[in-house]
Amino acid sequence: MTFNNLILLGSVTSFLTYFLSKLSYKIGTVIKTLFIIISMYIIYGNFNTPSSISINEINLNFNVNAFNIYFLVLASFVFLMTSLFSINGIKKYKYKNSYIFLNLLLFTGIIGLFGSSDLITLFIFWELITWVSFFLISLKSSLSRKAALVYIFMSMIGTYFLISGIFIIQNSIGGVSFNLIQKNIGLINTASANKVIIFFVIAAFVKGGVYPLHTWLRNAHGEAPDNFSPVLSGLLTKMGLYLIYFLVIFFPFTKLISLNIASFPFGIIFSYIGGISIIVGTISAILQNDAKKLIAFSTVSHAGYIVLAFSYGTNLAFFGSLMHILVHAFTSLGMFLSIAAVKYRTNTSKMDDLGGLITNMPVTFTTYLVSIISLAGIPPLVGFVSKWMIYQALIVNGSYFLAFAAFFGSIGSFMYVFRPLATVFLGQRPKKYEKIKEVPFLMQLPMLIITLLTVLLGVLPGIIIKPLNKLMTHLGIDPIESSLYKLVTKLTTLDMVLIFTVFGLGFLIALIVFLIFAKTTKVKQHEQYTAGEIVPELKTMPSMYHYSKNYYKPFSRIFSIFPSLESIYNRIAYFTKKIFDIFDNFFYKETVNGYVWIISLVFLTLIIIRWL
Amino acid sequence: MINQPVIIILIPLFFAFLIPLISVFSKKIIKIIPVIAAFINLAAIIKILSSSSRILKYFSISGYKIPFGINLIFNYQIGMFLFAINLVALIAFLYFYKNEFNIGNKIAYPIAFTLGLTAANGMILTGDLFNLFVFMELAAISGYIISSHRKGYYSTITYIVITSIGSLLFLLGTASVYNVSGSLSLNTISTGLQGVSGQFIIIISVLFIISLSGEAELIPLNSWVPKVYNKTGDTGRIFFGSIFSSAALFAVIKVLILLFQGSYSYIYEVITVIGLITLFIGEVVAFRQENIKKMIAYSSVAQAGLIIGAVSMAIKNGIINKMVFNAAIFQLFNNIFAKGLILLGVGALGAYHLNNLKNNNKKLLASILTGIGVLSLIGMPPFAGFWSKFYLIKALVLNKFTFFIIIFLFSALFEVYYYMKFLQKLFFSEGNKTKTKKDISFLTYGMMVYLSAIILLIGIFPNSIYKAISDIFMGGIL
Amino acid sequence: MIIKFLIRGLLFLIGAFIFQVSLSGFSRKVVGRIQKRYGPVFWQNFRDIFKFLFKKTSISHGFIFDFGVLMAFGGTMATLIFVPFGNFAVIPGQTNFIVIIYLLAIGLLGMAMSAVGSGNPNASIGISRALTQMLGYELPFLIIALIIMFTNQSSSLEVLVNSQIAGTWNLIKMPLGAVVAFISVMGMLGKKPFDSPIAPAEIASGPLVEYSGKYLGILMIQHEFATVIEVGLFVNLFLGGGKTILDFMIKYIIVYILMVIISSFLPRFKVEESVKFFWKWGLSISIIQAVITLGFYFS
Repeated sequence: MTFNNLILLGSVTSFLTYFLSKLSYKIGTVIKTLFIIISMYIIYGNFNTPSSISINEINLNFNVNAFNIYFLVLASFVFLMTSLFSINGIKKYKYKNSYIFLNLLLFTGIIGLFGSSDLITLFIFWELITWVSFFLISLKSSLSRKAALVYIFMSMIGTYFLISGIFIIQNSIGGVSFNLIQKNIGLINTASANKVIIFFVIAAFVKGGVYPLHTWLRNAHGEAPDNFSPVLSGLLTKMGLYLIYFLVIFFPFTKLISLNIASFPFGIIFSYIGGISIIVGTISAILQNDAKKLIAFSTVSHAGYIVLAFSYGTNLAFFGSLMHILVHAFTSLGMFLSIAAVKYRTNTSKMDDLGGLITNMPVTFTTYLVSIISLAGIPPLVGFVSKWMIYQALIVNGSYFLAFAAFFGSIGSFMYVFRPLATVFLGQRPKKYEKIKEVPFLMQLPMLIITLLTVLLGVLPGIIIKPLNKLMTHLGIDPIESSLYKLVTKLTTLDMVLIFTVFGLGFLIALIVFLIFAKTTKVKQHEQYTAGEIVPELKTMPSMYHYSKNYYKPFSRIFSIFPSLESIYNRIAYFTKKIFDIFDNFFYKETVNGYVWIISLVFLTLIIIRWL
Repeated sequence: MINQPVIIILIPLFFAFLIPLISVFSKKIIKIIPVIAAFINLAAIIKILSSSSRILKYFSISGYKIPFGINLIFNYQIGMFLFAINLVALIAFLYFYKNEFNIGNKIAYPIAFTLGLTAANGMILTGDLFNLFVFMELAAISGYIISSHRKGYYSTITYIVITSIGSLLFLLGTASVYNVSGSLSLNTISTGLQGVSGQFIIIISVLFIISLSGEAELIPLNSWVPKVYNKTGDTGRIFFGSIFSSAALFAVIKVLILLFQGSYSYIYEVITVIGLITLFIGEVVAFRQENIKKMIAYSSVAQAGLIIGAVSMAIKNGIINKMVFNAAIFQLFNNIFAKGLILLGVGALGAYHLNNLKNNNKKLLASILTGIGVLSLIGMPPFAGFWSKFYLIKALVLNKFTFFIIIFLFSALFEVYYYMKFLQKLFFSEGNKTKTKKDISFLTYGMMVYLSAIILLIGIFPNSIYKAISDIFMGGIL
Repeated sequence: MIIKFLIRGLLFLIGAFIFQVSLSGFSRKVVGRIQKRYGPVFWQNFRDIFKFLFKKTSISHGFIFDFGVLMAFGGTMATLIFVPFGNFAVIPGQTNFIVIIYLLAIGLLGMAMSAVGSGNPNASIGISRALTQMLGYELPFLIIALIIMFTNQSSSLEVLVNSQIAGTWNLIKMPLGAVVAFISVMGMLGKKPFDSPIAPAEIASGPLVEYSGKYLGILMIQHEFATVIEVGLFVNLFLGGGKTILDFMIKYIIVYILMVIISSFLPRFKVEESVKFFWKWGLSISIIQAVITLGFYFS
């Protein structure tokens, strides 16, 4: 089956699942999962075979080449995991049929977007994805609906900049297909090239959630349906960053960074914006009280990593940013799925109300733990590889501010990811959650797969480095040195298997030392050191002794004087609304007085013109 | 006679005068007469379309040679517009037949609607200034009656005052033009206006612009729009929103192009500014509304401003920029269907206020169909409005009209916001209960499905429609 | 091959253990003398550790409590393998600075998990303070380390040590950076004035509140190993490591005793004050140092 038929099949199947879900929602989700698996197979089989849908002289052109197969496979994987998870996960949703239908339609849209081979096709799918995801976010609650409105407002800003940029390209080059643009890039003059870069980057920043266009992320990701947040965070933001990669295709790699093109230092500016995004995202994440909003801000900081690494200009940094897309998708999936699993059983994701769930939900805990270790960039997991590459690239060239931002993101991320771990899974467990069970197997399965892959790709990074090297050669960038388990850079060589082995041996020695000595006595969770006092509440109301509220209060005191960008935007919005009300009153008064004014003005004008 | 376009005006006129005669015999048959009128008119249009050409031709009536008698202009593209308007009128009349016949005087309102259809057709077809005045008056008079359908008397008074001013100014303008150029027919006036002083041109252009803006919902004479839309009945809203506004807008474009023949560029700059101001103010005021009927009214105003602004932007030094002009006309065409569908849906669902939409999620199909109309209006793929907005932005960017694009896209942001808010409330509302509305009849569902299908078809085959209605005034200008 | 490295590693661990524990015992005597008393014998810390390890009873709060302790201990030992000690490196060529910084994080993470898993709110408060403070002291340290790595175009500690032995010590080349790094290492070690996470009289020893018996013994050993790593890093980066093991040990002893002396007469920062201190003074001085060094490097 060819790619264009896949798109058509996807649209038709999504309508079908809507009606089938009315019988039983499980049928709908199972069909959705099967469709995603089949489409992964079809995408693979369509490598380098262009196809198109042509109706009425509108051509939607698709092609799977070495560049977008990476994004396509990643998209299918993320959707597959959330789809598996949602077979049980959407049991308590109010609008199950619409959810399944819109989700499958969104999948088709994303496949179409990543697989498109010209800009107009990309734009059509971009807009389709925007309004479908708008409805998906709105499905949950009135808070999520408000968030969805802000999302679509800012998204449309990006869309309009995008379309203007596309038409400028069409004007200068004469066509919008990627091959044509790559060949004729010389035809575009510097002023238009500047405009195109800025427009595309604004669209990419809005969708990707990079500072300063990131304010919609917190509420949209935080309030979206739990099974949809991983897709939103792990994938839809990548849609924006995919657009930035086009600047590599359009304006060949060296040209973007050197000062030849446009005589405007875009690369430096974007990497600094990425750096600021990392810092702001990290600090805001530390100050959050809700687990999902925290992960949403971590998306902001990771989008900053990707932008910083991409714009930096060396092939090592570029590789790091490509790899980081995968790393962030995995960690986002892991974290959001575990929070969704907790919410499935306890109906809340507010960290202040939970605690001590590790005994009830060990698999969820493991997934979350592995994801956060990978997010903080600790070896030997896959998160370390991408961060390592980025650091090496920054250190080799001595950019101390950007390296500072990158380190800040890494160390700060340790702080904010630890908080849900400590407040949700460890500590004292509230009485009402004593009897909750682990989530059903079909929900555990994607979590286990992600954990396994995180570890595997971290120990043997060569598995992913080789395809990415092929991708970079396809784009005309020098590939980096690679081998199955060694990471090679100018500064040094790392052997991942060695690190893993040393760590394993260390753990073994610790275990031996531990077991040599006397056996331990297990005590219950409520038997604690209380400095000699007798505290009956520890047994009756253990949640009173669980330190979770305002976990980082001292840190937040440092930032209490800083204004947030969100409040600035809110004030601008309020101010504009007041001005619009003035327009309303001025032009559309309830009484007839205004018309007398207008008529007199008209006659006055006529008289003045006639007799002067 | 059958192949003359004048029959498109005569059929509804005939049926309108038939109604009082039949009312003597039986009041029940009156219900169906507007439907029959629109249906026969539609059939006539299809017949005439099949044998028309794409060049603008002037048809004279009863043998009087141009420029002495009344003449009409017609070509294939204008026929498409007439088709669209009469189709929406048929749907509106069917709705009226099913739901609103029993409200108000049973004789007056059907007459008003049918006369309104006549007037709309006439405004589109006419090629003569005084004839245009007559049809505008006819439209205004039927509009007075329609706008009072549900006892909206104050809004009707406002409407009367404003359109009277408009008519007065129009008459003044026509008289002056006749005085100077000696003819009233649009194609010969421009030759008569050669060599006239610039001040005179300014005066008559101001007169025409202001008077035509009354019916076409532009600033400065569009204050009646929210009031009338708020107070009239559902059918009346469809009429105003879809039929009258589009026909009047078409008439304005016709006058602008054929009267001035593209010279006197300062006129066109002024009109562009008026269009942009209307667009901006319409969108931002709609953004603040809680009353859905007023929201759609302001949106209608904004769309009118957009189309006029784009059209006058396209004309420079007597040359029409085809890309921009055709895109704006395409937008006008799509709006007829989109606004018709939205207003039909809003009326059928009883969705009049954003906080009163509680039980609407029971009528999911109707909400979805209304949603299709809304998505088409704001320009989302794969619906018709996406392509018209796409072509419009393409034309504007390629011709580097930067200021226009900035205001246009900035206003479009707000349009997306408030319409999406409306859709959210429609689908997921938790407000107060709606006022009890009867169930939606099968016929109404059928009409909504039909309109959605048209919108989808235009969305899938945009180029055929675009080519079918492009280059309207080719034969008549330069 | 592997056996050789294994034996080298074990020898190194035991040697480092003996060296550091006796040194920390000796430092207790130094503090005692400052406070005008005799202080305990210098092998007191050995007695403490073995007393804890051989205790007959100890309590455990569940699986994660045990696992975290093992992860902390194992991670720290794994990190120690990568630190060069004079001219001795367990696996020659594998002494990468960034790996050390990250593996230290594993140790901290393990202990954090285990401490919070005990369920005592004091432990949670201590950990939250520890993490907050980490954000403070790591940043200036890493900036200085970056400058050093950049000017030497390598991130392997052996290369950095050799370049200092061949040239001048970084202490002399970048004095401001050395001062900042010194204070950061004091923060890493949790010495006053940065001991708010432990805060003995305030939050009942913070993370360590629920540990007893062999857990406490293991964690004490882990703390000593962490000290070796951190002070060892400082010596390697700024004092030119050592041509021989003895050379390294002498420099190490001097640095460590200096830190102990300074912290013995200082009070305790509040945790947000310590973060502000590191950011205000630490970052600004390290950035000034960066500008100066890069200016010299590029000219």
